Amino acid sequence: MNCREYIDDFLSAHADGELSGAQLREAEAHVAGCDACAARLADERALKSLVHQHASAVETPSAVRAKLLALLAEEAARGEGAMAPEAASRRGPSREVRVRALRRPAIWIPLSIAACLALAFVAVRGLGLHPSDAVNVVNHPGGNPEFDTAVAYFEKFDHHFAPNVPSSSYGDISGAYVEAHMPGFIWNFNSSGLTLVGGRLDKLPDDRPVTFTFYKGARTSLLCTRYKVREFNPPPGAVHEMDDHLFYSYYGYSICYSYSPIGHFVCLLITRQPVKQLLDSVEYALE
Amino acid sequence: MAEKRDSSRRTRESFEREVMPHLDSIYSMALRLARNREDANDLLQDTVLRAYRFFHQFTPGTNSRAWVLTILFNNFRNGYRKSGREQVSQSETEFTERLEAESLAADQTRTDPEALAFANVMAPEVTAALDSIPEEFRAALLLVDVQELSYQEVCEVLQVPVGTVKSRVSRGRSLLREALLTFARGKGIIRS
Repeated sequence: MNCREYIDDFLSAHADGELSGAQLREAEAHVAGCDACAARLADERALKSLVHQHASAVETPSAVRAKLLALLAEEAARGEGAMAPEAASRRGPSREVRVRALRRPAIWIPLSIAACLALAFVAVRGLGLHPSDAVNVVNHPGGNPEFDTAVAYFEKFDHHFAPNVPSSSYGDISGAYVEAHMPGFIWNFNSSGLTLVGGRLDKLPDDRPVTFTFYKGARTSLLCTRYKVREFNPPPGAVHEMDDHLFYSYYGYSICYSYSPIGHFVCLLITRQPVKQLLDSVEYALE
Repeated sequence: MAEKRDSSRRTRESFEREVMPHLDSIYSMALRLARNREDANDLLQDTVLRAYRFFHQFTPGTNSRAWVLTILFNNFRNGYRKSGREQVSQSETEFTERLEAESLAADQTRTDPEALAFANVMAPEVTAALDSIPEEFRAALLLVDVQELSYQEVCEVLQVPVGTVKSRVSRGRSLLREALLTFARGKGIIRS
């Protein structure tokens, strides 16, 4: 078992005590010989503990409890407690369920909270944020200025992308972004034939920090842009919505727009692929 | 007639013994799903009454909390999820601060110094971070980490395959980690 397999397939279940037999032995053996995965397991358990501690039981208000007991008493008095099975099947909870499986994201996330705390003391030199070189923004009449800017950057970087994060590894780029107080998620579009070219930390013309992560495929390319917004006002006209991702068809480009309320960052994916293809790429990346 | 009354009384006693001890857990989950008190109260009431009506379907000796949570999630999916989008009737901060203040959680002894440091700094933000992640991941995390259900029990509550539960838990933790890191950055914890 290598680290990737451990993290992808075993880590959470290991922390949750859901492994047994050969799987448990295999996981334990890997962790025993791998400090990074041992730290990651400790981190996973710490997160479990945090959630348990801070999201645990809230006391039911006494008025709500009293009302419930009164309703139960009424229900019992009507003798409906032991409803006949056939009646139950008529009145029972619907079995209609949403079985849409959301799967593991193929994104790289900083290895552990502990590792990221350590990052605090490792300055990434030479990555100061500077205004990105000028881009030629063409404002489409009736269009969206945010999308127009994204188009301009996409065209610029599609012509030539020069990373200023000195690495093309998912981990290094993510670490550099985190160090710059930007989101550390890095999409992995390998399954859609798009390879990570590299990342840039820049400033938008209005001085907001921005990250550009560029991907290249045989016949297409894709730019991921992330920056802060004051308010999330998704443009109207989305042609598709998947979870929190809105998809747009915009003057020959396809755009996927999503927002994280924590930190108020938007993530804008732009490509010349048809929307359907971008949708598939995002969905595959979430597998 | 007397026989029916006795049967009804036994059902109610059995129900109160099996289900009512979990009321706070069910209410907590209703709050986390509905995210406002009025809807949570309705959801709780509907869930408990429905559980009572269908109590004959409960198998004694199995996990009654998981059984009621299954009804809660069915009710939520069928009647309380509005337009597929979560509705927040008050600010996230206000809501989470109130929940935090009312939390009955015991102050657990921690042995991991990093977790302790993180928890001390981030305590008010944990619930906000949880609320920031998509519902399916949040639900899986809450069922596993707070309700302490097994993956098999969670797959019955959410009515999804166990592989999906596994991936939602894993993905949920990744999202939660990232949200907490964002808070940490905001508070200057991860930058000297």
